[in-house]
Amino acid sequence: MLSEYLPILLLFVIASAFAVGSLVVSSLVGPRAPNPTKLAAYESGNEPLADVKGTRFSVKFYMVAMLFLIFDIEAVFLYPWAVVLRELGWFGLVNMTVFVLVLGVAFVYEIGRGGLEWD
Amino acid sequence: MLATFLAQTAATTPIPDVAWSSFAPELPPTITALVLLLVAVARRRQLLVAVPTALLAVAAGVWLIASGETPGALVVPGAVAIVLGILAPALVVATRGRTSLLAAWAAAASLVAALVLTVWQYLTVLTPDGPTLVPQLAMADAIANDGIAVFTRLVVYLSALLVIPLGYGYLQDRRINRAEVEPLLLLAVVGMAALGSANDLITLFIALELLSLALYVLAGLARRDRRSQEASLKYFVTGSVASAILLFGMALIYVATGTVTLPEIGAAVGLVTTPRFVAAIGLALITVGIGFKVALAPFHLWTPDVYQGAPTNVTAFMAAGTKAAGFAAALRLYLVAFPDLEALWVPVLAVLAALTMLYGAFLAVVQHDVKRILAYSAISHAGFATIGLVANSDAGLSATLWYLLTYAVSTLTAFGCVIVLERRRRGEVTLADLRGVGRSAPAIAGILAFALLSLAGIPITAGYVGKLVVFEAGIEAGFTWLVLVGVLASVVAAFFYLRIAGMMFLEDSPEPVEGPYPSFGLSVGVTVSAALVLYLGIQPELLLRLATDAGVLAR
Amino acid sequence: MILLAAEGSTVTNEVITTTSGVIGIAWLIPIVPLLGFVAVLLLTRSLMDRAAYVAIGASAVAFLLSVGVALQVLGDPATYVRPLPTWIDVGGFTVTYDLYIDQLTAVMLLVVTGVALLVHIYSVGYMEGDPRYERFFAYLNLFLASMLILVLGANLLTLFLGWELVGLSSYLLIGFWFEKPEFASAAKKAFITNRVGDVSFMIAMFLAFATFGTLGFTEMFAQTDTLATTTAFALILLLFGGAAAKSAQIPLYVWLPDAMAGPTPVSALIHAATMVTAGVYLAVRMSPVLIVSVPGMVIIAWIGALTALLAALIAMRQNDIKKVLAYSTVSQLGYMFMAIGVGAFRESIFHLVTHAFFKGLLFLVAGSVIHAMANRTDIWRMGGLRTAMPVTFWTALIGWLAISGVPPFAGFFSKDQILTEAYLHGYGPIWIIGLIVAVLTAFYMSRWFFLIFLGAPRFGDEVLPHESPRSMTVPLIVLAVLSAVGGLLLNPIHDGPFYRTLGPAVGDITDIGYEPFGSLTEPVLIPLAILAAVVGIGVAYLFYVRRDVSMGELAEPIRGPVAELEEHAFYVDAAYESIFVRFGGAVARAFAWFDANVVDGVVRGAGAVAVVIGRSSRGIQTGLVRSYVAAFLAGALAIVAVVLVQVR
Repeated sequence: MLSEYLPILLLFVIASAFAVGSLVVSSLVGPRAPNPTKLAAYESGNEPLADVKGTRFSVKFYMVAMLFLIFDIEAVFLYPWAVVLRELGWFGLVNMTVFVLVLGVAFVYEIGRGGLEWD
Repeated sequence: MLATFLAQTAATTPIPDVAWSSFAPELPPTITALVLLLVAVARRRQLLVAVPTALLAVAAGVWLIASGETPGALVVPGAVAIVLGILAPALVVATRGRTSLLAAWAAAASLVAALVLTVWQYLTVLTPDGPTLVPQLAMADAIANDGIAVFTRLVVYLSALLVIPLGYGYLQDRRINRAEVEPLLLLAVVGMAALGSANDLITLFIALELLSLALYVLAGLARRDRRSQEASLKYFVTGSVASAILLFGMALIYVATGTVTLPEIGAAVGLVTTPRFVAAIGLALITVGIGFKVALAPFHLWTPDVYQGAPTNVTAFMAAGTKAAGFAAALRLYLVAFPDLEALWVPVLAVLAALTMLYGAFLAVVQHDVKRILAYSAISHAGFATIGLVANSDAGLSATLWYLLTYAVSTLTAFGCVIVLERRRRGEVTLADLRGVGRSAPAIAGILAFALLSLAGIPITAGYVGKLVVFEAGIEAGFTWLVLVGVLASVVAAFFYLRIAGMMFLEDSPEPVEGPYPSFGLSVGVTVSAALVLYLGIQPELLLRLATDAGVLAR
Repeated sequence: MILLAAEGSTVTNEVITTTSGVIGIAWLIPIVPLLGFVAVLLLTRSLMDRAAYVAIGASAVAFLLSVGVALQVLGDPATYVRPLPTWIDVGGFTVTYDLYIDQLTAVMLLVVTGVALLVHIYSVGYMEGDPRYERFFAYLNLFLASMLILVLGANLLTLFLGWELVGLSSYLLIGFWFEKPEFASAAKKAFITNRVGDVSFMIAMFLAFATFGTLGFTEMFAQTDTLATTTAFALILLLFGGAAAKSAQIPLYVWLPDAMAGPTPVSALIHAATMVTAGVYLAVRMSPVLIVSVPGMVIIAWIGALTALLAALIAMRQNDIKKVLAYSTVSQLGYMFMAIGVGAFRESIFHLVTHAFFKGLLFLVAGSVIHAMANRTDIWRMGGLRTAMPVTFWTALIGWLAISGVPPFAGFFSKDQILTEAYLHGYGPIWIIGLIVAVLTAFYMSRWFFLIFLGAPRFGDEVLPHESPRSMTVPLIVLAVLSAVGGLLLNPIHDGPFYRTLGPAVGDITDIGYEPFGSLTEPVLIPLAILAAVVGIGVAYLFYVRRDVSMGELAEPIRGPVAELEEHAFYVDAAYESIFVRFGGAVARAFAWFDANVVDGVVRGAGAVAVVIGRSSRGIQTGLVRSYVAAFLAGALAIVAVVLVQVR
């Protein structure tokens, strides 16, 4: 009964083993010649201003990130829909219209509340 | 391009037959919520939102009345749409730019519309001939319109409708009457109603998330109040964990059975080819997730903090509505999808029920904050409602549904009175603050005492009939020990309800607090809900029969 | 032997469903006082003092209707069921608001409405000038309505509805003067003790439903033939648990003496005549079930007898004018249960009726005295009130003789017949206890009477006793007349008119086959009972009239450790306090401790899961949330484990 799932488990094991294994092997085998330039954080060629660990980001970054995620994921939904639009016919069209309308309301609200203004 | 597509499609495919009636009651609150969000940001241009909405609604209404196989069959929904449409600009004009007032009225109107449509749906669609309910499936079996669905709709819409007048002045007092309150409330209530009719795991999960997300925000409504913030965060964090576990459980069920539709799961679980092991783990995890939502011990720890911290009207709504919706989902899950695994979940839930009843009752005794006491009482009541679920029978099903209705009206009344007292005191209410209220405000003290008697399960109140029916079902199913625990818990509970009543009537306050009289809306809300408690206690026939008829499940 | 043959009347009532005659409108009996309650409460402002007349009118209407119902029932004896709408109907469980009216109901209706009417009238004078005068009458009406629902219900659940409502309204009435803290706590004590009994009652109802499939009296009694003895035994004990709380029997009697904190008319109405007898009514109503299990009845008999004895002992050393009466009530209720236990159902109800007369009278006398003494209640600081209050004195005299069991007053007949019945049914030890209690009763009531009314005044100069107003003395006189001749008229001999009437309504004991305890016959037993009364009165006379009692309590002749025990009511209250209150508190604290420590401790303590969760959720930093989640996950793991163990 459970044996049907054995391949999945095996796959899990192999995948994790491979990931861990390659990291371990490369750290063991790979040559290492560190110098300050190599170790510097790469921020578009500028020197980092402060230690990144422990700094606080403005909450606005999170806001934008969250909004991006929501609208982005919902927009992604449009692609598969477009592919099968012909099969879905009216049903698909109406449903997507409703979907976009609802999304639109959220978007208008977002703008109206100033969620996209930076300061 | 689009034109050609439309032309082609119109010629080849007919408009699909969507069973609108299956979610008709949810439409008014949903649309109202969206429109209100737009109104909230429209500032001076409210009419700009209201008028197009009105035109669309009226057009839809006219179309509904005119169309249909037999013209006139859809008069009720059509009329509802037209009335709501006309109301929209009228309310904008009448409230003269006070957004929160507009939102409150609009939300109330949409909830009335939802109730009307629920009754319409029940009378014309679900019981076409005679009183026997004919369950209907719709939307590719994603929605089941049966007794549970109808009854849940009644309870949650009624609760939301009562919460609006209860909360309006309160939010104003605390200066948190933001325009988002009503839309969020409406979205939450739609989620609850959808939870009651969700017939597959996906719908169930989405409905659950819809109501949860709205409530997370509502709990943190008081942005300047640390307690409210804490409540919101705690609720969110623990709720997310619960959702994740629930989702994991659902995934395992899908793995085991290969379907997400509840009746199909029910059919598949019993098969020999289904891995019982996986299904069992899935069931256990789902139990945990549902247990969190309805606050069964040991998944209840968030409840006191959240109930105490959240704005009181939100707490009332959470107690009344979430519980009803959560149990509706649980009933459908266990009775439709897992009847073959009853040997697994019945004992587990029985133990949880016993634990929950005792825990809630005993811990309430040592509390001092009235809202916190009511929170523990809510926990305890979840245990009582579970007895009907554990009974695993039609009688148990209707008993639990009925219990949730009685609990909803009782707890709404109690929280309504707490709101009145909070507004008088301009702050939270502890037991000591209740001294002498019986003298300074006899009416409100009387109503609160009455609501508490109902929660304690004393005759002539709704709560008594509720407990009786649940115990009855439990005994019939052979869970005598569980009922005994329930009786014991109700005795302990009677003690702390009594303590509140005693504080009000039998002790005097050192300095009398003279507060303003409750506002009109608040009085109406409290009075109506108290009247319901009395009515359901004395003449429960009508709704009890409805609950009994609701025992019909879409299997 | 002739007596035994005569008492087993095999006549049983025919059940008739009817809506004709007065019974057709019998539902008005509880409704009218209920409307009176609502009206007085709503119209308090505009009615002012006239509220009393509304309330009195309502109770008078209830009384008249009761008389009509009684006439109809007695004219054509049968069990009438007045159909009314359904209350609850769910899945085979149907409960209606039907009324059940037989001879027993008729008797109870008359007693309840009659005494209530008198108490209403009495209260006009007694409560005069109270700031919440109107509300008092509203509560009285509410109580009356509740009691009538209790008596009229055709099934256990409707009876329970009334049962809870009387508890609630008596809570309001006991705590009526809530300004004083001890009154409030008395009200709470009454309520909580009664809840304990309610649990028992509720379980009894579940058991009854599981056994009979119904809670209706007619349907249940039709099935007693097939009832298993063991089930009946359990049912009897559970029902008695409920009755013991309401009717103040061991071990749940503690609330009644405290409940004397309420206004005196309330004590007369609730704690003498009506509410406390609800348990007796319940037991007799269920007597067809009782007779199925004789062992269950024997337990009731013993608890009744012991309660009677214990309360009588305590009453001997009480100094509060109302406390003596309170313990006396507990004692007399013990008598009634004793009677039920030995199979003397009709005798029990007979005693209930006469007790309502004389104890109601005595409480009203006490109220009159308290009224005259400016709210003093210590009987050692009274004395010599005979001349100042002639009406009160003479009525009190009748009440005293009646409760002491002196012929031909009412109490003599009912008490003697219970004792005789105990003997003839073979319960010798219980009969002896009954005799001892009779002596004690005569003694402490004589002490009470002598100290209040005879001797020289001991209340000093600041109190000027005076006779009470007419509205108070008229009810006294009415009750005094009833106490004097009630027994003689109703049932002067064994198997008199009262018993003949009541016979068909109670359980039939012929099949039990009782054997007499000894060879004594009634001509010997009756003088023994009279002798008990005479001894008690005589001793009290020697102690409290012949000796000098002018120095007050110091003159108390009963001394020593036993007296100490009696004075402190055998320390039962203190024991309960420490057992139940502390235990309940300890459980609650244990749960709270569990919440605070164990749940949180899961995080801090060992266990790989908890540690991992603690680390991974550290970022939230609220401390408590992680313990919530931890408890949550622990619960989840437990459930998964349980399910997995089961599925294996």
